[in-house]
Amino acid sequence: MTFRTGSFRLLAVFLIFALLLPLSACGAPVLHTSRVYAMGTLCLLTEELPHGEDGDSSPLFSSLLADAEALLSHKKDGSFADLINALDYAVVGGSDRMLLERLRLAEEIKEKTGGLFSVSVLPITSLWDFESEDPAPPTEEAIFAALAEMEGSALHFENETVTKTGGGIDLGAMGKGYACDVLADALRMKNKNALVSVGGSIAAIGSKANGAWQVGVRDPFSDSQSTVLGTLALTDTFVSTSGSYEKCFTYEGETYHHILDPHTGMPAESDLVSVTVVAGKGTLSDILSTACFLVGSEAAFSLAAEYEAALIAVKADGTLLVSESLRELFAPKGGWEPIYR
Amino acid sequence: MKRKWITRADLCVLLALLFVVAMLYFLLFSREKGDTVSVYVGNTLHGEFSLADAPDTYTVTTEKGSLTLAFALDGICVLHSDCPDGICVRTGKITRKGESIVCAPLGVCVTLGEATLDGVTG
Repeated sequence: MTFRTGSFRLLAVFLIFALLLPLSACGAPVLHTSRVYAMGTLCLLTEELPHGEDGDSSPLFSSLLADAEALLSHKKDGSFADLINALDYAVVGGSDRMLLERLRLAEEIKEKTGGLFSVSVLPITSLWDFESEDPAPPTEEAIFAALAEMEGSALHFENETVTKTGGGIDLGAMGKGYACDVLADALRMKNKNALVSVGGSIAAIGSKANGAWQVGVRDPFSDSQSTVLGTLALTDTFVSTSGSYEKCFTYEGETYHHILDPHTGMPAESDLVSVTVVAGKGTLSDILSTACFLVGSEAAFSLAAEYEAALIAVKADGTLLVSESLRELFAPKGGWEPIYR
Repeated sequence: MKRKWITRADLCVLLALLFVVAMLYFLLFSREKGDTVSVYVGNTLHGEFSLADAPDTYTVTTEKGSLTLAFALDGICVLHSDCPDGICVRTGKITRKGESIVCAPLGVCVTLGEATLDGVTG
């Protein structure tokens, strides 16, 4: 049998295509992670990119995080928080209008918790330096003075103008969730499937090609940040966690954590050590995680239910309480036995 | 005149195409380095660590004894195990995604691969 040149070329082309065929499977999306240090914490963006494609969203990620910090941090000159603390009023307009709605939400939750959750807590939070190399609790006199300054604190809204009475505001208990909201809006506009993590606050945008985003819930009794008590399967939702294990110090044998009770100026005495909130908005999940920690396990579930949010709450005695609505989405790790409610 | 079965030009084209295909296979299927260590005791995930921020050593205690892992930036090995055969220790360091160290007597499996979690809240 003799091959002609034409036959050979046909055979060669066929062989090449046969060899290339398996490579077509390589078009599946890959996960790309960008890391940025912003808002006093490590922020991660994990997004799906078609194989080999450039054009990840890290520039957008960095820029929006910087904008959120410039808007919210009372330590940044010219921020909303800096202006309202200095002038007792500030105007919020343009692309920052979302903040107005979120501040109204914070004030609403303040009312529902009898003032346990509040953003008007700067006089107290500024007394506690949990990041100091040599931390110590403030004196009783300083706490009394701060509590007096905070008396009657409130925010008032008129069109785009926010005015305040009483002590200064500190948006630390809602800032990371707010950043998640802003990032989620921007990434949805770009039709991205992504997972944003700003400290402990997470925005799950869409889902992965092979299913929901898998997010671990940190074990509050472990020193390791990577040890989890279970996993949440998340699609288009937001999660935040507040725990007494984070940002704490021991002074003269006593341990002080960073979730402060605005009524006493001291670390909150809660029966909970950790609360994780799954909610429809990032700011809501962030606010509720602090608010639920402060009100304790008995009131936390009814408060969350008012906002169609779900909880994973760990009590100091190790009891794990989980909202019934998370039964299908939460997989506890061996050794943890959740009580659904 | 009888035509040649294969011309020099055909050979050049064939070799060039084969070279391109070989490079694509090499780039896409060469084994990637693993970056996350998952430690299982039986079917339960005991711990998951990123190699970048893992502790120097990590001890897993089971009902049948304990096993100590040593982490490095490029991989992981078993430093010590209470198992009678010591196969897990002799496995040495694993560095590639998909590689595992199994200690059958203690029921411990250490796998290097991609993170099973996309994020952690807390």
